[in-house]
Amino acid sequence: MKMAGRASILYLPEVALEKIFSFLSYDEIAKNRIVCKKFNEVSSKLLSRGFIQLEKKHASIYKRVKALLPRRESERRLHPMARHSDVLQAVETRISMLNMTYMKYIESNLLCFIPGKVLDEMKHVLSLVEKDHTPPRTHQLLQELRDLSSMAMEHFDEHILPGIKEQLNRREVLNCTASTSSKVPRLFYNYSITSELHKVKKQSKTHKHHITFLTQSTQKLWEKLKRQNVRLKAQAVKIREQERKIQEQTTKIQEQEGSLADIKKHIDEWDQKYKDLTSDLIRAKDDILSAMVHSRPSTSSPMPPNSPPKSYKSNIRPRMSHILPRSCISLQLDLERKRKSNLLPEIPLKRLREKEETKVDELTLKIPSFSDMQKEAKKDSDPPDTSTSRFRSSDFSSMISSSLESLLRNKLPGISSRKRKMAEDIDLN
Amino acid sequence: MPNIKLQSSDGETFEVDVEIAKCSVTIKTMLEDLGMDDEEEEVVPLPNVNSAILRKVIHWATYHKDDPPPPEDDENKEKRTDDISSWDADFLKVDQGTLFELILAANYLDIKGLLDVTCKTVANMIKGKAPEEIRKTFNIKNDFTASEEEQVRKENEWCEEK
Repeated sequence: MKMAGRASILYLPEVALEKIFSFLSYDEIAKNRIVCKKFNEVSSKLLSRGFIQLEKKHASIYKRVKALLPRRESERRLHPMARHSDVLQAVETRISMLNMTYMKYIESNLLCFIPGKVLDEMKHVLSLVEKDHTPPRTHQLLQELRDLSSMAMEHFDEHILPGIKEQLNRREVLNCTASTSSKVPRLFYNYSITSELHKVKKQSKTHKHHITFLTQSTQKLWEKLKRQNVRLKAQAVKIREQERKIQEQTTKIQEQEGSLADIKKHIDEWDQKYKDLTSDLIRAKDDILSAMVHSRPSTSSPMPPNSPPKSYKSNIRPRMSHILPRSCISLQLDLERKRKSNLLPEIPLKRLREKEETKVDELTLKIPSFSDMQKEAKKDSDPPDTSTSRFRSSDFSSMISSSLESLLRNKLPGISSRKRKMAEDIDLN
Repeated sequence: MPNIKLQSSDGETFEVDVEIAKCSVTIKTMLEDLGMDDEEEEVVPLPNVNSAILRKVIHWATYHKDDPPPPEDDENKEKRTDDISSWDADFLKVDQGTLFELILAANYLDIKGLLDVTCKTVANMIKGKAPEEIRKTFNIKNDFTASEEEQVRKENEWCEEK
């Protein structure tokens, strides 16, 4: 045998090799891939091309058969081509399954269409359907195809896919490194690096998961914070309102304090005036008494001294009310109305007045007795005794006036203290 | 019948009937494109074919000159390798080198019939043989790396019966 120069099968052009292989079954082509690299290259191409060609062939046959079938599905079943259609439909599902399994990787040049036997079987089925007018029952015809394709796909998923994926990853990594630094020589690329890169990739994946989780939680927290802020704002608004109200209240209180101070002042003035008046009254009484004493010898009747104080009393009341300023009276009236203990400032006055009256009455009552006594004394003794009696009477009147005065003095501080208490109460409120 | 002179790569000239020469689509196209002048004795150089092979090709073409034109290649057609005529079989009882050179020449000259029959012959040599036998037959060196070979082996495992 002469094996010189280019006369080896490997030096044949690819077209020629393809031509040679095209006379072989796909199964044989697939099996011969392992002979050498060249064989593998050409065979792989043929296998992949074979699958695509069969896909196309199936599509064209199916189209033709469908065109022959009636449109109505119920009529289709009775049509002589019904079985053809069934077979083609079954083959279609197989083809699409195989397509999904292999095509992605074929397109990325990672492998070829591995199961040549499946192609042979498919080719056989299609040719049968194409030529035979009455193909065998669908199930029998397709059993082999089903078995083979399932076997091939199972094997692919279990044994080949993991390796392919790894290769894919490696390629991606290579592409990345090539794009980032094309000068990195392939020599540095070894398995340890790829495994490390794998680890890094895994880690980054887990990190990604963590990050997504964290972003979710932060988003939740952010929302919470927003809600809290809204609540805080609402509360701040409320607080401001409250402060405003408090300010209003304080201004009101100040106003009221001012008015109260006014009232106090007025009351003090009033007290002073009252004191003056009482002192005036006492003086007037004294005058009356003295006048009575003086007029005693002339007028013997006991009634006249009794009437002047009454008239005096009746005269005083309107004057007092006139003396107080109108605003003050109205204020006092308001106060009296508002407060439950509104009568407090009035009560002592009334009492005082009552007491005064009673005193006056006593006085008046006593006066006749005194005059009687005087009369008796007159009757008993001579006119010279009148001087002594006069002395006595003056003495007596001074005693009464002092007692009245002391009484008034004792009462007045009480009134003022009560007033103070009232003021304090208002302050506290 | 007009003749045409074909010159091999090693300088030998073969005078062939134009009709026989027209088995080669390459020559046929050339003649049609350039126009044939009977008067002129132009030599068609065939630098890719040596005299031994050219002689063989002319021999084959002379025998098959009356064959009907081969049908267009149909991918769907069942490919057979057992339909080689006995004459062709005898004709191709040559060493592998000649056979491959015939394939190369048939490819270059675009002689479909010859290409088909030669390729079928090679296919028959491959058929039914295990990879190792094929390597032996064609003196092919297994140039796979261990991992590559393992990969291919793994891929082909799927149809092995358990």
